[in-house]
Amino acid sequence: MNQGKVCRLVSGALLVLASLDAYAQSSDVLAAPVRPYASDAKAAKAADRALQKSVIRALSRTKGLRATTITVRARNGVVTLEGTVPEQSQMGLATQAAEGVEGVTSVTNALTLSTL
Amino acid sequence: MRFMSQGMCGATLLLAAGGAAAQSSVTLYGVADTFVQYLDNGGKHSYSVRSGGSTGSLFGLKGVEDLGNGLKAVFDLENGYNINNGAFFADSTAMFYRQSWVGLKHDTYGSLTFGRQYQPSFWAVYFTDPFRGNEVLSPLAAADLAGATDRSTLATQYVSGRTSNSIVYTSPDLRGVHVYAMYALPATVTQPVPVRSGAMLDVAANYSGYGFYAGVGYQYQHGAQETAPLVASAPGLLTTFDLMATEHFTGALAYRVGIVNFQFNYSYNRPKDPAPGAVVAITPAVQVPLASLVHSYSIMELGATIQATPEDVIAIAGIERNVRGVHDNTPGIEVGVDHSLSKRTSLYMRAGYLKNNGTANMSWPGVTAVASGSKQVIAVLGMTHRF
Repeated sequence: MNQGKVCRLVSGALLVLASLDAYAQSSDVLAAPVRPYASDAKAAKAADRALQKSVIRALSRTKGLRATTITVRARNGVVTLEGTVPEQSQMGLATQAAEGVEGVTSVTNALTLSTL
Repeated sequence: MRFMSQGMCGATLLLAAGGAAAQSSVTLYGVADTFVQYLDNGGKHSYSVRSGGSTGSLFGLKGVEDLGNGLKAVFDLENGYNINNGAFFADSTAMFYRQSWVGLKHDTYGSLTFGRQYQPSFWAVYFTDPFRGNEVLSPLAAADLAGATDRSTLATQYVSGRTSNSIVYTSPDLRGVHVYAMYALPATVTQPVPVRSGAMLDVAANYSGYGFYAGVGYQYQHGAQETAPLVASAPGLLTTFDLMATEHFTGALAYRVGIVNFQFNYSYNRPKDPAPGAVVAITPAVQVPLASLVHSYSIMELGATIQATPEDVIAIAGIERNVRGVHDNTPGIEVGVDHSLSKRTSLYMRAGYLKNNGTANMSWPGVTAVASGSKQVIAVLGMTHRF
């Protein structure tokens, strides 16, 4: 009976600990965008910048696409293409090129047409 | 852009290819752009409705036919018009004032095209003007076209951006590098002012990649002849005079940091010296030395294009046109905002200020009766629709 009590107590404590741990973990993930640790924010920014650069590189290398007038925004793998391209067909080309970059989870195409 | 395919077969092919290049296609495209302008021209205020402040109002037909083995036949016919009154833009005798050319394009060897085309030096500088070389409201166009109104540089030629009777070679994309070469045979036009231009050579190269852009250009224009009024108080009194052969050196740089594209360009324009003692006879009794209309000049523009949000672009530019050998210069500043309502429609505003020092005479294009040494303030609201 004593043994059973101890067992229940220990397992209960473990459960609480485990749930605390789980809670801590999930709160970490949830709270990150709200109150980030400085180093995490820095790391995220650096990752965004690196992703932006690789997308720019991919766009520059795409045949038949004029990348000079395209602005790339990247945040947590979500990439937005902004600015202009001279032809309608290049809009799809830009999206395809950006989607092919490692680390890109989705691409929003906000490009507009400019004939020149 | 609307495809007018050649027959049902072309239409089916287009559908099947899902937007990929068909065997042969013609595209109708264009811009309808208008704006309301407030102008303070040396103290005189005015309001007007004008055309093409963000992108020139235009419509065009461009086509491509696949000839096989990487070879294509290509053409482009592009009309410029004023949407506020329906008139042709700049030259009422030219249906395709902006572009008209046809030629061959090869995937590996580049293209060779013939007709009225953009100059290589234009392509060198185009990507570094925050106002995209717009020939109505860009301060760069204003500084460039001042060559047609500024007394001290009236007989120095300026970079017109496009040339008739030209043959252009454009290289394919060589790892971000493009090379352009143009040779043009003499042309005669009657508008906006009568000019008989000489032959012209223009070569340029640009590089674009990794957010960095660089361009260089060299243009040589042979001597020419122009007919224009030389006395401000007698605009009906026309004088024909020689334009000196002129060399143009252009350099351009841009670098993208995040959402900001920093842009810079510089050009130096050097005319040949006129013959000693050469004069321009306005009337048999009134003569001015040709040398008084011939000076070299430089144009420098520094600016930035900021993609503030996916829908909003802010453009800002500072400019200076400097005439050498006389104390004439014109500094200026312009800001603009373009707000996209859709991929095809946007609203825009521009605000600018130019200050002519000495007897300099620079103004936003299309503004008449600008007094030498005056200042200008411009503010516009407009909308542009692309199709």
